[in-house]
Amino acid sequence: MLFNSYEFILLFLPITVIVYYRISSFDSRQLSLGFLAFASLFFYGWWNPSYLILISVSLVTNYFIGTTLQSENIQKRVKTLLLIVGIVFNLGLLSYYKYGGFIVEIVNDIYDRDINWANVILPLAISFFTFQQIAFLIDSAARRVKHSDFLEYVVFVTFFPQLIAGPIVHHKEMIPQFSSIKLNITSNHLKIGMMLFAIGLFKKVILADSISEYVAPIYDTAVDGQVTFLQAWIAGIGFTLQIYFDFSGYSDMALGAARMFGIILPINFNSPLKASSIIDFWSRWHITLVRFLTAYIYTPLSLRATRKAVMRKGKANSRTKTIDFITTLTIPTLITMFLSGFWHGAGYQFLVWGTLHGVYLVINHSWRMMLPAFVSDKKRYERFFRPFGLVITLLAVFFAMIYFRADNLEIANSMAASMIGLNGISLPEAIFNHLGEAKGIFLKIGIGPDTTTGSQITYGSIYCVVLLFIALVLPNSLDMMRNYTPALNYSIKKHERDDLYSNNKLVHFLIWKPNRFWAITCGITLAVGLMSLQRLSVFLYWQF
Amino acid sequence: MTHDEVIRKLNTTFCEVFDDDIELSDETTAADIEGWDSLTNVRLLVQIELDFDISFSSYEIADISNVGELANIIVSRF
Repeated sequence: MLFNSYEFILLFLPITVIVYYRISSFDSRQLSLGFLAFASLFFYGWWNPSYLILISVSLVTNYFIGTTLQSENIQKRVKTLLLIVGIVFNLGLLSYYKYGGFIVEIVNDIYDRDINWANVILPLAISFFTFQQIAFLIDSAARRVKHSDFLEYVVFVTFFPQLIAGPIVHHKEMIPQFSSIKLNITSNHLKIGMMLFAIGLFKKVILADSISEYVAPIYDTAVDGQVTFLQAWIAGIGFTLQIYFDFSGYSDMALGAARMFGIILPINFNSPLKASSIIDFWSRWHITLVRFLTAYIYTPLSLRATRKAVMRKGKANSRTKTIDFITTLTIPTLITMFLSGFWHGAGYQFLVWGTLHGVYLVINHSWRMMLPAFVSDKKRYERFFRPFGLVITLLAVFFAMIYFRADNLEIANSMAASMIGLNGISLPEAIFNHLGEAKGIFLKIGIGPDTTTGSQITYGSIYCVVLLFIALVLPNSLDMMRNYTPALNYSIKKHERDDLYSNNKLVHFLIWKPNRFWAITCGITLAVGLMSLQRLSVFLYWQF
Repeated sequence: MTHDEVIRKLNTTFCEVFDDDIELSDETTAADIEGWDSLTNVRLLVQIELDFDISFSSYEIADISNVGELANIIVSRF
């Protein structure tokens, strides 16, 4: 089931919430959790009931292994073996269903063969519940997990607001909530939940889907031939904004739906385009995935190398400094971002996307390390450089996103080439015609008129500008709800606190309270979203 | 070591690693300190290992949300 569908919004969600509230009057934790588990599995099995077998097998196996790993009487060697078995089981399932075809493609490319891989239908949510359970297994082995019963575990993994597309929740932030699940839910929960859900729906259905209408045709054009410079830019910026509002909207809907049951999910998205560096960007985009990869891949890889580097701090020479730089930063970062790309999709273009971001991060970290040598006043540097950082980050993100959207590497490369002007630089035809005498000069340096459909460029650009304004200037949904704990781990970054609390009237105006004005706003937003549901909609993070 | 002693000692380490005047509390998170990212996080942890003469295992430090949790892990070592 999708969040942006009539059956979810008008049937499943209201019915589930109402029944849940009724059940809570029985004051039984087991009953409440049992119902949530039932509803979540129903939600999951809606598309294809046979998925239920897969997820049940996964749940039972992981719970059994995890609980065994938590026990105090287990030998270290057995524990390690069991942990490996568990991780391999999870990754094996994921590989089979998600990466089988891609792995075969790689093998075919390397060895010049033609093996056929029957297309396996990708089970929903498999990337999410796989990672969630791997984290559970590792933490069980480290004995950082408080014991939970099977029912709590099932709800933790399958809770429908976060099941299909995240956030990737951590047991330690969820189990305590399920253990002490409030059986008397306040009406504020419902109001907060509905507002968040309404905002999310609006972002997805009105913002993301509108701009996708201008992005998709450009990608279609790219399949048969080249796109122009302008088209490539609209595609890059437009798609970035599309996936931004798609994912941001979904995260809000997840937060909202969960809140209606009194559950607070962790933050997953925090105005990433406002980032003034790519390092900052990755602390705002898909926060829970980055959290997972950093904890279980980056930090372990970097830790050993960093110990060695710190040990020889005094005796370092340029050779060892280079080695340390490569082992403590470059390799762990590239591997982590490569895997992030791999997780996002089974295709070469995703690997390129991931690796690009890995390279961006390495450059950013290097820059930061070299700064103290030229800059004495950090604060002045930061104030001055912030706008440049913002623009550079935006350009880097727009460029890499081309790869994310393309169906394959060839199309992506072709569009990327157009974007950097390799296929000529074009100005909108209307503007070019106004150049008068200067036309000749422009043509000489390779800038010509763009003869593709005028309206496509015009409307596409307008949408890009409007959506960019929203993403860069307006407070986001969490900022609006910030007096009511909209999400776990949400905190306003230090340098933004001064900006946000300054004399920004817009910000003060846009702070949510449970009053009539906001109730009406919520209703209107929801209605607008509902009415626009008829348009064909593609939900991007669906395929994970 | 008591929890407060650990926090005080951590404060010195933090000031050294981030080259800044920092006042730590249990609730301090990465959002509160400029420059505390995944890279400097690892450097910080290694420096803490040296300063406290302890050793972390990878999954122990995998998911620390704030300084209070970090202090708890250190306290449990003594």
